[in-house]
Amino acid sequence: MQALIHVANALYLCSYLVKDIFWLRALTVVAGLVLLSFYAAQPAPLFAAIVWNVLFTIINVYQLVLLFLERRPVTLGEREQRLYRLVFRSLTPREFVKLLAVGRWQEAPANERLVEAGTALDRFIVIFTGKTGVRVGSKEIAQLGAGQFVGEMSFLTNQAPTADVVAIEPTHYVAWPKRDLSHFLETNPALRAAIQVVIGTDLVGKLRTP
Amino acid sequence: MRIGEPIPAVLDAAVVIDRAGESATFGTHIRGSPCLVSFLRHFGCIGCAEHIADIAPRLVELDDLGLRTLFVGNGEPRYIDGFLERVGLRDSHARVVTDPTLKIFEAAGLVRSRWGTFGLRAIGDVARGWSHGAASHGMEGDALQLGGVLMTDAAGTVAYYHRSKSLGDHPSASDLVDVALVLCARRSSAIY
Repeated sequence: MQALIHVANALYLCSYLVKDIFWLRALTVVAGLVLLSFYAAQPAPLFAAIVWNVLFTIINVYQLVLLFLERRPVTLGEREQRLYRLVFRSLTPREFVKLLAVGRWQEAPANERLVEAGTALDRFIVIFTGKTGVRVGSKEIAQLGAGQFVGEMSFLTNQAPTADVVAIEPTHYVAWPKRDLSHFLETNPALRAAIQVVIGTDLVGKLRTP
Repeated sequence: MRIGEPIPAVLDAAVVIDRAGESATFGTHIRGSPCLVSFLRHFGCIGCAEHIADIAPRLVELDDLGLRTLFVGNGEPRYIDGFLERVGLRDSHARVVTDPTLKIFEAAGLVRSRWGTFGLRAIGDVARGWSHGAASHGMEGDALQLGGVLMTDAAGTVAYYHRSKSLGDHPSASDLVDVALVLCARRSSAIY
């Protein structure tokens, strides 16, 4: 029975030697279970130590499950793959899937207005296929196509749009509700930085286009 | 300083010195394009090293968005070269100037604080800095002066202002990039 405490501590020692947090936690769980059996097998079981070890094990198992879920391979469908290659290559596929889960795929027929000047915009759009025109009054000042954002200036500045954006041809796009996207980015700092790069690149490109 | 208002005249006219010992007013450094100004403490400060380690990888991004970056320290100009080497900014577009008289810090509304330098919050800042791999490099300037961050548009109007409460109290790089994106978006002829 005395051997159990040595086995447990040898496992703890191994856990301190590994760098991967998944294996560190896994070894700790096994070590904790061995230690539990040692405490339970005492002539007078050490209940305080047992309770604490059960708590540690529950926390570690929970974190292990989260790590496992995060590390599963990501599978992208064909349109998701195309959108990923088109715009979001600076994100990891898993980050991209998380981001996409907050948005919705939508379609607009030709002549549908995606953005209306003077009306607060509550969504952020990326065009997947199709073409839209940016119009100030009756004058078209720019055209936006696949891979370009619509509504990011309004999203960033919190100002109502000063231009209409109208589908010139049937347009397939992904739209994120502004509030959901803001909340999502606040709670995912790494993704926030990656999205800032993507938005910044799009914005600078638009400003450089005459 | 208030967001949406011009920087105070006293700050505009405050004199800073570059690594070559050349003097210029703060206004000449920030006018003409949007600018991110990071007021550091002394050049060996661990909190500032951590802050720069956060910002440095994103300086190119800020540059692409049309922002200039200026770091203002409070040590002697002879410390600037060593500082640039340590924080890896020697080849960046960011400029580093200093004002050992601390007048610019006062003009920018930044504080000198014993509590912010040696208090509990500061101890926490140092621990966090160490955990992020930052290090202190001796006292290269005024120990008690705290820093801050100012962002201005091309006309010198305040777009963002942060006054540090302790030696490691700095905004995140992502918060600053957000303001840079807003400044960039406002340059567009139409919002959409």
